[in-house]
Amino acid sequence: MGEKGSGVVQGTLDMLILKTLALEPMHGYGIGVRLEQISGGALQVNPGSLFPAFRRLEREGWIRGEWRSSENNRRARYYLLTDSGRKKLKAETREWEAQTAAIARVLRARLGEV
Amino acid sequence: MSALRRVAGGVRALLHKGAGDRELDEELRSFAQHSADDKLRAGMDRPTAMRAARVEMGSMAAIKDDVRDTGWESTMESLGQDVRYGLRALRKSPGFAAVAVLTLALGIGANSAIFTVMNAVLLRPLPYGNHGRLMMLWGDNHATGSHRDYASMPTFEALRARSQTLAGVAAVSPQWTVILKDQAEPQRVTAYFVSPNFPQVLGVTPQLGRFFTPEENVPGREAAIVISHSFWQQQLQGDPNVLGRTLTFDIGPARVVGVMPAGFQYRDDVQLWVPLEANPILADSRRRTVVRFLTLVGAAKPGLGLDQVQREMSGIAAQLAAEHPDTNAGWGINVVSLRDEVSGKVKPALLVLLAAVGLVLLIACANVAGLLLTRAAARQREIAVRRALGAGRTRLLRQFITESVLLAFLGGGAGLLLAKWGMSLLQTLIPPSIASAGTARIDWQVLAFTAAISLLCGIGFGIAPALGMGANLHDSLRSAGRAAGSTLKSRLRSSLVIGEMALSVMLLVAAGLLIRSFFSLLEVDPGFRPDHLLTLQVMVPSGPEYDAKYAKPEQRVQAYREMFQRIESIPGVTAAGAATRLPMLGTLTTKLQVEGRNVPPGQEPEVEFRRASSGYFRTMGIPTLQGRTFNDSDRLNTATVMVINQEAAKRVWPGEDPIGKRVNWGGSWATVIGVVGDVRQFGLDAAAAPEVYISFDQGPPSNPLLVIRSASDPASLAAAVRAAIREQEPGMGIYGVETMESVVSATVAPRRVNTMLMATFAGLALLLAAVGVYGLLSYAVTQRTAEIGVRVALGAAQRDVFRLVMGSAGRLALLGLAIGIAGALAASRLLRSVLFGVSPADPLTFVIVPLVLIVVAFLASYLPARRAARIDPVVALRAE
Repeated sequence: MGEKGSGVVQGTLDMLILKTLALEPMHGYGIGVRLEQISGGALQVNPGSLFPAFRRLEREGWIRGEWRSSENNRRARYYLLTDSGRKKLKAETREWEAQTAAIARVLRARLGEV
Repeated sequence: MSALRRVAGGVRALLHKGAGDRELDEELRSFAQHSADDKLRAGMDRPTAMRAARVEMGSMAAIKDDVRDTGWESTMESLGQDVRYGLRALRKSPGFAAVAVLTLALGIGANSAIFTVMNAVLLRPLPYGNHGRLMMLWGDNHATGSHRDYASMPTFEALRARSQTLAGVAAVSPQWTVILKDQAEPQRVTAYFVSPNFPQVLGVTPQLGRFFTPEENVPGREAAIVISHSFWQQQLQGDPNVLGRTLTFDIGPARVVGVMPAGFQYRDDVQLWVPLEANPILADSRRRTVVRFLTLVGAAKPGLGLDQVQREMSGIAAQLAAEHPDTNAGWGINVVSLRDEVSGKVKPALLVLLAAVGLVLLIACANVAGLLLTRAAARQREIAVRRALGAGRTRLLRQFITESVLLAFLGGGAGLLLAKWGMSLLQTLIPPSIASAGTARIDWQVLAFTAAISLLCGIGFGIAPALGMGANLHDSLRSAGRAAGSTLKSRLRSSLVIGEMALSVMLLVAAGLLIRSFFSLLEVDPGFRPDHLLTLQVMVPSGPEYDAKYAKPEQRVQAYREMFQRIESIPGVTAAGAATRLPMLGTLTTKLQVEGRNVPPGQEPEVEFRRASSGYFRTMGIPTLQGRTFNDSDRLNTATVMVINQEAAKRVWPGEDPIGKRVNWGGSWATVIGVVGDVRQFGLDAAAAPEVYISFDQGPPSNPLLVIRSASDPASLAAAVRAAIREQEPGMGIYGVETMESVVSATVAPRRVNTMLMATFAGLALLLAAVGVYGLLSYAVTQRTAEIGVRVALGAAQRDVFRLVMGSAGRLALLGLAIGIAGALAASRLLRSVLFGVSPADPLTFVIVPLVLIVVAFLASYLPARRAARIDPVVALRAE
């Protein structure tokens, strides 16, 4: 369970998947590869984390799965971002930015500013 | 919204489990193929690429498990598995299951039963619309220290007019007996005279018709009355045209204007509600202002509490005392919530019982924990295998807890059956003033309570053995079945023994104290001899055809004389007498102005008051201590004479001879002629109050209580007495035929039930503790078989082994005993309010209880110790 050794901060995997799907619908393997590519290899997410996340997001109604044929002509389950998923992503992004900004401020703080 | 979606998704997943699994399989295969495709493109050959893709993915089964675990339905599913597995495990060891369920049934059942009564008496709202806001406004008599005294009509009127904190105040008379004369035989009916706002104040409405209006609250005319549902059904046969029907009572005709709902009861279970102004006391202008005979009940305005009402009432009482010093000086107002009023007396007893059953449950839980500990040892290999096959520790823990909760729920279910079975006994604990509304019954609150304590117990006794389980997988696999038991486990075992002993001591001490109280109560001299006494009430008929015979006092004096003679001539009757009230029940008081003393009005001594016939004292066995009692020379036309009790002599004439003294009581003068022994007027547990008696013949009542002393069983005389009275006057009403012993025993009934329950619970605790201690020690001996075998092989004699086991058991038992005694000493102070005539640190109880427990502990450890002593070293060591 969880994001074992993936280098992904706990709880952010959902956001990353949503972001990936915001670019275009994608199947499971593609999402993993895309995350690795975009992050320049920093994030390696194994299927043991991905699939539970897909199921979770699907339950919440943020993504929707459908069978399509893939670029190398194989059947694959593609995930699409739903409207509520788009809203969720926006909210999550805002939240994330606010948090990281706050953390960055704390980290930058010098004694005189406290 | 999203929660709803999650639930829906879970349900869908459960329904289409197969389809979902197939889809996931396909998706995972597709994932692997895409991964392999990538690797092919990167230059690997096909088999290598496929293998690499598989390796990268890891175990498909593990992924599928993880995916399944994301939803709540998987938790439910594994819970279902656990329950099924647990049931199977219990079925496989029926002996263990039966003992555990029975133990828990006793523990939980006792709690459910007592909670049922608590719920009926203390928790369920009173059945009035304004239940949370109702308060009794009692007169607070500073002179006598009585906090629950009646109020007078002017006080009632003043409170109604002045109070800002109360939405309404209603006045209620004491229970009044009237005679319904419509039937073939006159019927005795009880009534309350109430102010017309009575239903609005309580927040109730009649089921049929209406309540009487303020316009109808007048004396004289045909009274507008409201009847109870049971009176309507039983006396009037449920007459559908009851509204407007006229009934004839001894106090005059009355017209029914309403019927109250079934089960409605306010304090006494009366059958009629009559306009307050129709009460004879209010007809006389002097008595109207001075007689205190009303109980007042008020409904606070919403949002106001008892404190605010009490503050305002104290203020008004002070105003009244200043305005009317002659009647109201020295009087306050004591505000008591109606809830406390009806349940106040039983509350301490119930809390004590609740604490007792709580302790019983703790012992039961300790027993089951001990059983589980033994069982966990036997299941060590099974656990080890399951862990080796990949079951996580939390998963196993959950399995264990599920099993114990399952046990607890089975026990709880069986306990409810036990509770239901004891319900009729428990009903006697409920005060009669709320008996009709407060029936002890199993409702959803009781079910919820039972479920809650079952769950709590299941987790409580399940977690201890589960925590000690299989800390080290390899050890338990290798040495399953013969481990000497970890220190954690043996410590747990020891604390269970100590705890069970300590709890049993506390319960037994409490039971012992209550039993001693009950017996010292029975030893109280009531002041008369209740054995061989029959009592009944007669009612002289009235109406045109009878008034000629009985309206004049001298006619009644003559009639009673004849009646006593007729009764005394029945074979087996040794004496007969009569009085206006029986001892133990009820009270009527009067004030005494002693001649020559200048006591300010309102400060006069207040005494109990009874009229008694000349034969009363002899029949009752009340001793004459000084002077004489009434005789035939005391007549209507001779000077009024008075007999007083010892307490009155002590209080009113301390250090003086009361004989020959003159007193004024309620406006007329009387001379004290004799002193008799004290009689308990309010029950055995209340001290005797000062009391005066006036002769029957100098003011014969129309509905006296007869007392008849017999040589044989008094109940067998009832028919003959009834026949003798009817022979003299066929129209004479005869009611309430009872033996005096049953009257007395009814007054101690709640205490008897209390004591019986406490003794039962303590006995239960003792039994459970004995079984529990025996089980734990047997288990310890089994665990130590190898060690004992070695000792014997090295030369220990049987005697040494026996002593070893007995010694360690004895140490634990004594420690438990010491803790229990300390706990009992601390806790018995809380019992003080329910004890009678025995100190909370009663030496006898505190000696006998530990002795009993030492014997029980000895018996419980004797068998395991003997078994240990007989261990054959060859067998024990070969078993390794």
